[in-house]
Amino acid sequence: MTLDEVRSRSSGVADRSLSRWHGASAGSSVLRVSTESTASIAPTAAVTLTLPERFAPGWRRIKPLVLTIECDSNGQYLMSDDEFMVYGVGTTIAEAYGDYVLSLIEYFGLVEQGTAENRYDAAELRHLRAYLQPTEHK
Amino acid sequence: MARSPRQIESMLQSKFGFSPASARGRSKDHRWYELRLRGLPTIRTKLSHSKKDVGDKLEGKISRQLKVRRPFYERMMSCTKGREDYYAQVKKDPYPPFGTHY
Repeated sequence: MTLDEVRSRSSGVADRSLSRWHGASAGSSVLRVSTESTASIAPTAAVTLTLPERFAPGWRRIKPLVLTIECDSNGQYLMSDDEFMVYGVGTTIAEAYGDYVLSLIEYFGLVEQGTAENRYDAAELRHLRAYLQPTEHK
Repeated sequence: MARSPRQIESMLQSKFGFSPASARGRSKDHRWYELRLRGLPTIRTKLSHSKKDVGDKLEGKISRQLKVRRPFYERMMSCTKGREDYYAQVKKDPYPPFGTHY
């Protein structure tokens, strides 16, 4: 499966996952995140949630990975984690999620490629694998 | 100051020595850049193919991928911090720090 196929198929995962994210916390207040593609977040709010276990076709999340959703100054949604510093952007939350997932998988691939010549990438790959693993042969 | 992904990419490559990285099966929507410095983990950042200017919070994410605080990043982009300043900064005081798993 190509990464672009992962992106298109993971948007469905986003819709299903976002429906489980009702009640995601934003500071001390509780926000409701809708499954609608028009769901919005106030520009000043940041919502945190956990990457779903089946976050993309062919991938499984092992350890909880906290994601933050924010609205940027240009009106785009931004989804990111503080563990690997990966981010995704989009005009809707679902699009930002799809972009984040794609970026995370690309990051995994880059680190995996770097392990042959870089001991730091070997350590980073072990760290990544503690959080996510492919479930099918790539 | 709003910048386009192209402007940031150009700075990273020409001024700070980043190289394009190609992941297997990479998406056509993203471009990844890498910098390998002796004795440090690889620094990686991603930019989209979008022609839209990069938002303020997104520039904050990029500065974290580059391992520098936002004010330092702004000085990199406005040309008051050069390649040697940047390399010295990430060696001396990377922000956020490289993980303890390295």
